[in-house]
Amino acid sequence: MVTVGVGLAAVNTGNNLLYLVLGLMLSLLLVSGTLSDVALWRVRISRRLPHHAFAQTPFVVELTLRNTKRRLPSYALEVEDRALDEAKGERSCFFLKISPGDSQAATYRRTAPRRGWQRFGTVTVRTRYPFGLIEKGRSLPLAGDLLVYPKLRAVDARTLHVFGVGEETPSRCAGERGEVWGVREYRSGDEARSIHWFRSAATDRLVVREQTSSTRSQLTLLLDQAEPAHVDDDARERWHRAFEDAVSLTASVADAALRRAIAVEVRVRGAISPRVAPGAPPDPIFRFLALLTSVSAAVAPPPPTAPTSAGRTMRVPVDPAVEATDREVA
Amino acid sequence: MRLLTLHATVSYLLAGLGLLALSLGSELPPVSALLLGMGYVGSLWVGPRIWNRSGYTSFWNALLVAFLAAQVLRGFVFRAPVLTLGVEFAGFLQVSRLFHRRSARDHQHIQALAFLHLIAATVLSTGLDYAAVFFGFVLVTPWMLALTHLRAEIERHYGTPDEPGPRARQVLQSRRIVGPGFLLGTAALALPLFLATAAFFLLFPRVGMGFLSFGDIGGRRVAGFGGDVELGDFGVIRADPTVVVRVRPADGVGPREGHYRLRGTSFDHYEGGRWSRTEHRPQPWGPMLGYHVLQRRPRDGDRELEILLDPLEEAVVFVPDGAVALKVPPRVANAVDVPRQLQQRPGLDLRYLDGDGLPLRYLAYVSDEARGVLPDPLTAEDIATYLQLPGPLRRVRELALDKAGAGTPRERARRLEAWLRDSGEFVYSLEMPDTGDRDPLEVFLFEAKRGHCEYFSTALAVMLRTIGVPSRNVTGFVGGTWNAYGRYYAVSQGDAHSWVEAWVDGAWETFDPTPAARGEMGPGQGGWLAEARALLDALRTRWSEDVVSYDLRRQVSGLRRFYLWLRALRGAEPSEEAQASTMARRNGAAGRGWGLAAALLTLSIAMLLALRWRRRRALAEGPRATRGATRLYASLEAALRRRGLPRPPGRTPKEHAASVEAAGFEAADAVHEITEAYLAARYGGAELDLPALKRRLRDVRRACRRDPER
Repeated sequence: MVTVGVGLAAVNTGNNLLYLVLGLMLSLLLVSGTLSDVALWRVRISRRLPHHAFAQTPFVVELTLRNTKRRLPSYALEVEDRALDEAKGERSCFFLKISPGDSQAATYRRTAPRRGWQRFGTVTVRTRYPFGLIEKGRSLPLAGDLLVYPKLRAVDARTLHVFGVGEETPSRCAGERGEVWGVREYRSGDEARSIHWFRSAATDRLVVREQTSSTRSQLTLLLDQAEPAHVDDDARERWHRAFEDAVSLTASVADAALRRAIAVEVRVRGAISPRVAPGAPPDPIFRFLALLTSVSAAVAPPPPTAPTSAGRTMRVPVDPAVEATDREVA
Repeated sequence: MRLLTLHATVSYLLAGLGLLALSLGSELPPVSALLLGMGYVGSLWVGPRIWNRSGYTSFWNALLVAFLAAQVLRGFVFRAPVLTLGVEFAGFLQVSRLFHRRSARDHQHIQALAFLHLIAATVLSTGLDYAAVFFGFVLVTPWMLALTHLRAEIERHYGTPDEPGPRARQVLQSRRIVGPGFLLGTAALALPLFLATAAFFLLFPRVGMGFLSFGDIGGRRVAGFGGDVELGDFGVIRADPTVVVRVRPADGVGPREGHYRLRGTSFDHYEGGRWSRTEHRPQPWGPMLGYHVLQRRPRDGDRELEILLDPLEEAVVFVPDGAVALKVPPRVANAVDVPRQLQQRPGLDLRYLDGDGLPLRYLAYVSDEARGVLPDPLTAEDIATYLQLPGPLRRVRELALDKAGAGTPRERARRLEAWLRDSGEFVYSLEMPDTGDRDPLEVFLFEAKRGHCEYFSTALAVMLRTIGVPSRNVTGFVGGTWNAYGRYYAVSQGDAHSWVEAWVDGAWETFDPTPAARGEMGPGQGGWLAEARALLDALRTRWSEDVVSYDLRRQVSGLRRFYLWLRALRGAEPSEEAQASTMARRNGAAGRGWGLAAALLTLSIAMLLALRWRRRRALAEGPRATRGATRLYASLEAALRRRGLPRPPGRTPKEHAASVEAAGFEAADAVHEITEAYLAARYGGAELDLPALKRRLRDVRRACRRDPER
């Protein structure tokens, strides 16, 4: 605005000194824009996503910026990391100074709104350095996929009791976690206490103990993902909300059951999740539920049925008429 | 260095430059300047302990309102000049900000106010002092803006805008953020900033509308050119080295006599030790075929002198000895030429009316045959005016008759001139004894016998009048020191002089009775001080000519010179070359310098654009390793497009290859091969066999060139 004002004054008065000041102001804009480009020049960026994340639960993303310029540092860089389905990104990472040839890492918290794949396409680096007059940005392609698990909620004892999980005694029972069955490679979600440190040190890889479990301690969760024909959009929306709540409840109960040394399996129409043994990480169940989609009732396979083997079987209801808070105790 | 300390230092530098800009000219009274200076220095000792006290900000707000009220009161009640009041208030605002430099936001205010001061100063001064302040801004501004931006970012990301927070304070105290490299690098930005400023200044169209023109800033006062002059006025300025006129001979040859005689005005009435001019209605003096003719239009062989006259309080047009005509270029206003308004009065008193606070530039054509003679006819009615005497002056007349002897008026006048100048009876001196109530002329002629030029010229003029020769006292400048830096002759205030014109043999002829010793008492001609003064004056002249007086005409001629220079570089036809060469000779090194600067700037911009284009292209083509594959496939696409087989945006390369084959293209196998190789290299990191693929591409091109109908 000041530049425009000075320009008008210069044209009106014909005062050459005002033209000179106008020239200085325009030059500041020009140099600022050019040098902002230089600050962004030869800046490389990498992203480290967490091993797993849960819907509607904050998680941390690490961004690392590397300044590959030989002589010039880069100052005051802001990084906007945006998932493909986000309208507006979060500008959460700020890098004050990255010396030539140096790199810096910064983290920011983000929250995935829903389960499923969260895909990242580009990262935008912006700066207004050196003069703060013009903002320049560069979008750098940086693909990345993060599977977001269903939201985990606290499940109270009453709900667990309804699902039959509370009947198991969770701790201090000899052999309750089973005998050592063997070892396998570490997977995300494994408990640190199950790592076999001697073997890990010997093989230079993280290795965990696998334990046997009682076939009596097994829970099968049945979830019907068939979507009925809806009378209107409102009804469709209510059903989907209920379905997401049911998926979340299924994941939460499965997690609680696994913590209590109960093997878990989830059955839906046309598919069965891997059976996760007690002590093993719940990731196979979570991954199964994260990618679960509804199908039209008209073309859906038959409803899931209970297994013939021993163990408890519980059906997780998808009831649009029940609010999420009430559903746990329904 | 800590960022916080460095930022405060640079803020003070910029604020100081802004206050200095406000103090340019004479609008800021010395007392106000002193108070502002005290506030500026005093604020250095104010820190967080004081400005965090409760009521501190309220106190300053109240003070600001009170100061504003006081200024309004002074304006309405005491009729103080509005500009002075505004300048004082602007300075006070800055000082109050310096007392409040808590956060980046306050420093942004300081920086904005300093810029406003620089803008305001454009109406306060056009001199070299403004140039110095301006270049100070060019140097300090990159530091200030960069540091303020960094600080603002730190405060934003590590605290809140109003409260920096402990983490932000910790970062601001860090010594690792800015160091000598930062300072040097940021200072180096002054160079591109300066070049870009110069380019914008030169190229921005000069189409001033003049709606808000501030007009005349006011000229320098030089005694001797007003309505009257008292004996003694000139003597006191003899040692003043301030340059007021610059003479630049077109042929580079200096004056024959070693000095220039620039005639200003004349006085016809002497009474009580004071010369004055009889009032006459001024007549407009317009050009004739482009020249203001004094005797005749210029001819071949006349010497051309370019005269650059500083704005003086009296807008006199100075005429060099022997001038036959003047050429005063028009002013450019609202993008059109406006002729200068000149007028003349009897006694060859030439003045310009449209002074704009800028130097007057004009050309004078000088001929040897016209030297010492002036074209100013004397009518019978005017003779009495030039024979006027304050009384009988018997002693003076007897002395004149005795010393003039017999002969023609010219011979008698020359004898009197020689007696006063060369006889040795009279001594040139800047000091005069107190004459009390007595006539200073009689004291000079009969008692003191010492004085400066005015006494000598008055003595000769009056003595000539006593013996019946019409005469008048003339004031102007005699002198001129070669300025090697600016390549001109500088005429200073100390060169102001007084001499006599007498009407002999039907023309006004020049007589200068002042002894040669006058030349020894002028401004110092040697030593480093004189050199420094010459350098400064050359800079001032360049600033005035190239910046302050830059207009549409010079802009157009500069662009034309640049165009001719470019054509000369490219080896244009001889006539243009000759023209360019002539222009280059006329404009000398300055023209070449500007051309070179403009070429460098153009080259820099072109390089920046090329770099930018390359980077965008590199981004579009992906990583370096796969660029060969991308280019290869782009060539294939271009060839197929020419054949009428373009790839729609939604079609993959493989689908495109299949569709080309389905269309019956005869080199479809080559298209498949190139597509597969491209995909393997682009997405699989496979190595390309470029020579083989280029051969296949040639096959595709050959097939594309064939007539599809055959």
